Amino acid sequence: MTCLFIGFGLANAQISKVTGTVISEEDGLPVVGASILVKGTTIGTVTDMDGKFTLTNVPSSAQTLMISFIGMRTQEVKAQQVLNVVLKPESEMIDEVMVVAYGTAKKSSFTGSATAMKAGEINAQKTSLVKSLDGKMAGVRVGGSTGDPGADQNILIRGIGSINGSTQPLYVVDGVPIVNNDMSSGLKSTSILASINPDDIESLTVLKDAAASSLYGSRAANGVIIITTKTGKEGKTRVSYDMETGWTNIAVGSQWNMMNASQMKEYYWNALKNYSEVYGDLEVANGVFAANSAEFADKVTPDFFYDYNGTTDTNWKKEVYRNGFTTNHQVSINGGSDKTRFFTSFGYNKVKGIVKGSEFERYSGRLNLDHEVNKWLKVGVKQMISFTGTQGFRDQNDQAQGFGTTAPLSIMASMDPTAPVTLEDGSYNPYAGMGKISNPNLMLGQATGQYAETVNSDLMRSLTNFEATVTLPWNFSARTILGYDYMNSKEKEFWAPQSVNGESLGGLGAHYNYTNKVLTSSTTLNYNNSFGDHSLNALLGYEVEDRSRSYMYASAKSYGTDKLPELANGQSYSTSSSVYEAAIMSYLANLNYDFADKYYVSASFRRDGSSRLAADNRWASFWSVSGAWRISGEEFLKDNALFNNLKLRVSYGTNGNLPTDYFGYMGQYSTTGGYGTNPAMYWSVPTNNELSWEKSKNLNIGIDWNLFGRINLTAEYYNKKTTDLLFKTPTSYVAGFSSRWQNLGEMKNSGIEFTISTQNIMNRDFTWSTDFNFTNQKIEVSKLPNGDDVQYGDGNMYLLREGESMHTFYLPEWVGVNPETGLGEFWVDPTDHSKGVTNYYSKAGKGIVGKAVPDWMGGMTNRFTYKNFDLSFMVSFQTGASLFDYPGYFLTFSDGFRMGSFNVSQEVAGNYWKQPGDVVDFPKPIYGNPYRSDRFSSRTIRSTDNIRMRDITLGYKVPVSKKLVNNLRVFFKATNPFLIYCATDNIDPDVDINGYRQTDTPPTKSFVFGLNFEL
Amino acid sequence: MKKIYLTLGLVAGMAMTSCSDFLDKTPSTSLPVDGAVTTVFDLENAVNGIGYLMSEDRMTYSAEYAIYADLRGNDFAIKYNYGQSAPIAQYTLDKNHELPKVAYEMYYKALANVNQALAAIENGNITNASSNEATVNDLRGQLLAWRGLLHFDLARMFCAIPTTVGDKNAANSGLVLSNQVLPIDCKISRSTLDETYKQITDDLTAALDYISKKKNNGYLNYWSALALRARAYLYWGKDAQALQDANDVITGATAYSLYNKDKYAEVWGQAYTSESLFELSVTPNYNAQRNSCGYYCDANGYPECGFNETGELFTYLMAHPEDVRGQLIKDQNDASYGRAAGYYPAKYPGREGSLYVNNPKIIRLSEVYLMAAEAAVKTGDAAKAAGYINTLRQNRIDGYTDVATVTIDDVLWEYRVELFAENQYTFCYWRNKKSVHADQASGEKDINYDDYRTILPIPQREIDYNSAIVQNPGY
Repeated sequence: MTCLFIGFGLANAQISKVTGTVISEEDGLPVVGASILVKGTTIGTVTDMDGKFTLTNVPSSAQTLMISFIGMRTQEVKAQQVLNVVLKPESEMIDEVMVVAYGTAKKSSFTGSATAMKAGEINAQKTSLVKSLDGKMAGVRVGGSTGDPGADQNILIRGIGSINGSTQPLYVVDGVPIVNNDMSSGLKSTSILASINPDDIESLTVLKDAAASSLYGSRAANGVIIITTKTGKEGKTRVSYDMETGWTNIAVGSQWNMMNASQMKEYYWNALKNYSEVYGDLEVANGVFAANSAEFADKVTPDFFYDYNGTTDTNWKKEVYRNGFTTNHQVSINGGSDKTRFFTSFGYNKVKGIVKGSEFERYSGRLNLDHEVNKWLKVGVKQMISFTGTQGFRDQNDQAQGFGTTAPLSIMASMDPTAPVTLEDGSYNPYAGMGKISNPNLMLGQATGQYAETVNSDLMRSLTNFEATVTLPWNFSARTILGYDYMNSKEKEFWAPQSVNGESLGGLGAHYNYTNKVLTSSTTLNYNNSFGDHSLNALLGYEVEDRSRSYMYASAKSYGTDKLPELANGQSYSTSSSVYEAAIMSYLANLNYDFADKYYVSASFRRDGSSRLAADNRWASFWSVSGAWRISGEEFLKDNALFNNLKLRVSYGTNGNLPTDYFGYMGQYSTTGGYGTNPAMYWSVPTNNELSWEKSKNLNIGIDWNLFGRINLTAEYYNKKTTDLLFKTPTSYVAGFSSRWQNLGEMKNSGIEFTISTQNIMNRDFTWSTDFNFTNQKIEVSKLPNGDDVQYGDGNMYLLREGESMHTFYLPEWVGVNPETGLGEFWVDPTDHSKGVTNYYSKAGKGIVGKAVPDWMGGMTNRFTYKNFDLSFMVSFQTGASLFDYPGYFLTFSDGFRMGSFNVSQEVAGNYWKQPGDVVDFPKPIYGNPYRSDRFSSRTIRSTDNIRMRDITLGYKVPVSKKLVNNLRVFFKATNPFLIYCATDNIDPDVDINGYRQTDTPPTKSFVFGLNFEL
Repeated sequence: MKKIYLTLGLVAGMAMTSCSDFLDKTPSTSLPVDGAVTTVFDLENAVNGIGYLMSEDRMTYSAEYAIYADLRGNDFAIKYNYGQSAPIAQYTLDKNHELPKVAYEMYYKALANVNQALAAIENGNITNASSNEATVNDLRGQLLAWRGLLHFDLARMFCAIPTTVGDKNAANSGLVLSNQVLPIDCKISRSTLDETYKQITDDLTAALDYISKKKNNGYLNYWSALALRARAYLYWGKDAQALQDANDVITGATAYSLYNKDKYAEVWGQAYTSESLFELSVTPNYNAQRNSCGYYCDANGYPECGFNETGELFTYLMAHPEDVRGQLIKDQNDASYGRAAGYYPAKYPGREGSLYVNNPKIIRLSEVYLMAAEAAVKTGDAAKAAGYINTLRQNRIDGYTDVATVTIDDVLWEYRVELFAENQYTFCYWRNKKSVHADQASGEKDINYDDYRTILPIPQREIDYNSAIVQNPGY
């Protein structure tokens, strides 16, 4: 942005001698060894230890000096007697040259909508490169994930483009689309992307509109994320070492607080008294009757507790959650000659999760090599290999329905606060829980042993890229990329013979083995030419992708020991294997033309064929056209500092989205069944040969405006209309299926995005810059089959209705607790309150009670430097979205229904009905509650409006001699440290894009200390 | 110059050589539906598919439905509530509940598979059918019998019992009939009760023309189809036909015999015992896991189907050691069972070391005797009825003395004792317009035969996706 070089002296004087200083913008320190060259001559010198230079014998004809240094951007400066030059680091050039589809583009000439991110920001979160995007880019929303290390995370670029198809962007690494799904048994959320070390990434570009992404055609409807890894730089070899280490904990610590012993005893007593009244049951034991309900409760309540009359009051939360620990080390070396450049790195990342037994570990290595064979041939090889291991337990991989009995939260809530953690002999108390739950200390983090239940995964990934560029006559060049992505994922589950889940099988060991191979080959022919004011760039290409995913499963049961989880120690149980294959074939073309750096037009075309569709339907074409006008290039704005740069961009085009099912179109008989000892097959998929792509039409209008060289403002409006939605139409069960794939319905995503970057203060000692972005979005279902509403999800809790937002919650509307009866009340008909209220959930009518997608979201980053110190902090916000409090359904709003299975949230204590006149939030608890007021309703829909401190980083550059060490910086970083504001207490507002607050490990905060060191 | 031609040629070459079958991929664990069922072997596997679909999911024959009618009365009690089958006992199943939904889904899914396989026969897709006529006929008969049975059990769950209603031709009182391959987006209304039971008995009747009389473990045969028809007639109020069919089974099915007193206690851990006309083949690989009937009937499982120790059945069995059926009380009162401690029915002890693995007996000879007795009483021949009852009791009770006559209450009591935990009790009582008592029920505890809760709600989603469907009364 602002490269400030300040010149002194007289420009028109005859010059024979030039003196000056070269300093680095990054740290304000002198640059040693920078080269100063008189342009067009061989006259030059280098800077000394203090960054000073003196150049004599400068010819009077000399107009321009070139100042360059490795890793810095070369500057051309008008020759003057005294020069002070500030060099910018080269990585900032990403602002100028962006990596885009099948190549690079100068930002000034780019007509589409794309946002790039630099190395330093991408590696902020070592286990997840997606997390780094949170709040940083307009129009990009990062979904919440479980707090377990290595868990997967969703990302949305410009809203939600599909109802049942994929909503996730396409990831392209060094020119090769990579696989990011479909590699897991679903036992446990596992991020495939975590196999890529963020420290190896040079830049990340998010392609948002059709002009930017339609060259990726059938897979680009949800946007494209292009990742470019680091390459070597010519010159001196640089060795750098980065490390960080610190601890983690539950980000919102006030959640998951359960009732203490006396509160729970009182609640259970009330629930049993109310049960006795409602069910007319006074029988306390076989043939023994209580005189009244209170006596019934007196007699029965102690049966629910470990030690009803004792004084034990255990806080089980502490036994399940702990301080996590994270550490990261990265060594990288880069350098090269004029012909060969290299970058190589080794990274190690380890995280101990906040639940006992959850761990993540990654080893990764990379070698990127570029070589100029001769004048017309350049080759490059990029090889990455990584090993990612996680240990933990089952979770709700789909970030939705389900609450496993042995999930950490379930264990915690099943614990009896009247039970002590340990027995008198010091051993852990195995009878401390309700139902089959023993004790978290015996269940979590136990790889083996009586109650062990574990899930481990090992992911090995090798990404190989081979690239060759041939320079041809007449400004032509050809480039071919061959990519091979090999992944192997092994998951192992073990249930000890006496564990909760293993008991009925005498133990279970299961191994899942997935191997994924993708071969991608693309060849493009490029033409690049400028003549006069005209500049032309064209591309023609062909690409194929062949993917195969094989799967193997084996399991054993009836284990002879709980100490040895391998399958050989049990009896052979079940085996399975399968192979899934998919292929894509594509032709593509692209044309960019600009005139006088003022008028730009572009067009793209891609034709894709996919194996995921029936033969007659598998080919489709995608295209885009776009244009830009750099208004500031016109005479009337020339040299007007207010309009340092002003550009208007417009684009329109189409993109597609493929079905996620490999053979969703094909009517099938599954041959995987069995009956008795014989094979069995059954009709598993209904036929739909008409199934086709989901198509989206995108309009984007944007303005880029630079004021005074210090303020950059980008405003964009987008309107994305998706038609022929991949729709899993629910059908009546009568024909044998619950749903079928169709192309039905339309959606509209529209929004405005603002990005403002300002250089508030730029002094040598003190700088302050601000990046601010915000987005207003609307995700509207615009057309449904026959205009009919579609309800889906558990209890049909979501509604698709024309004109309503995606992820709209459709549930009975809670009125409150009747102070006289103590019962919860729902509207019989939320649209017509005259019909009155009902206590029975099943008689309550449904209404729209919220939506999971925000209206406004954004983030602000402030960066300060003062001398050797740097400080940055990022705040994000969102409004308009609600979450569905699924854990609350079990723990907070249970109204007595979960007695004997779970304790109750602390916030219910003292806030539930006991006698007429009580004005409270929670109805009277009833054991076996027949009203089912606990079921999903507007009670469980809660606002997520929040302002959150995302990260704070404080760094210090240790002043050491540049001769020895290029850079030494220490820093402290806090991630997710606190919420500035949240509309709902005791919840973490970061939930996945479907608005489901899940029952898994909650999001974490972390505090780390780190070090960057470069030789 | 040469280079450019070389490169252009390379690009063009790659484009040209790209043959289109590169994009033809096929699944590795399924067959395209059109070519799937073309041989007798395929057809056998497709028939196996029906058994497969009916043995793994909730509410199927090996899961809650094996003990469904028992959960609804007072002979059994929830020992510790895991909320699994408990809502059946508590009469809290509403239109949004998972259990009616999965029942509706799985039985209709099985029906769709029956129809698809029958279509393969009828359309002449079975290429080697002519050389295997007997086998194809038997399979065709099995499919028809399955269709009768699946409709019958759907009707028991979702429709009133015909003997309890005034108008069997009332609109929407029956099922949506699945008697052919239905289009995926079909929106069909419910039939009447009469139409439903006509479909059931017609299918079973048609089955008898094709199906083999040979004992066929784990598969339907002539005798099981005939016994099922007797049962359907009994529910339909056609007692004379029921008596005829039941009697034909008793006299004709010579490969089957009543359990005797000595063997009675041990047959439950075995497969394909002498009385079993049709039982589902359940194996360690294919079962309903934690929702298996065996898991509910054991203190180590979800202990939601233990004996009610103050109930009439338990009291009788404890007081009559001469009745061998009392041997099927499993004593799990040891303190180590904790809150699940109690007495449990021992009819699903599990095989191969797993509580999950029990073959549910969908119909067995004792029931046929009882059906014959019931039909005889109702057709006015109490003496004949006594004959069936006496034969049965002689094989159950030491020192039993024959009775000369029996009442309908005697017969119903015998159902309760003989077929406890076998999905009979409450259906029998309601069928005969008797009420049952259910202490665990939410609300009114006397469940009269015309109580709306005796039948399940049609899942709300069905109504959401097919507005032609009319909900059952009361929901």
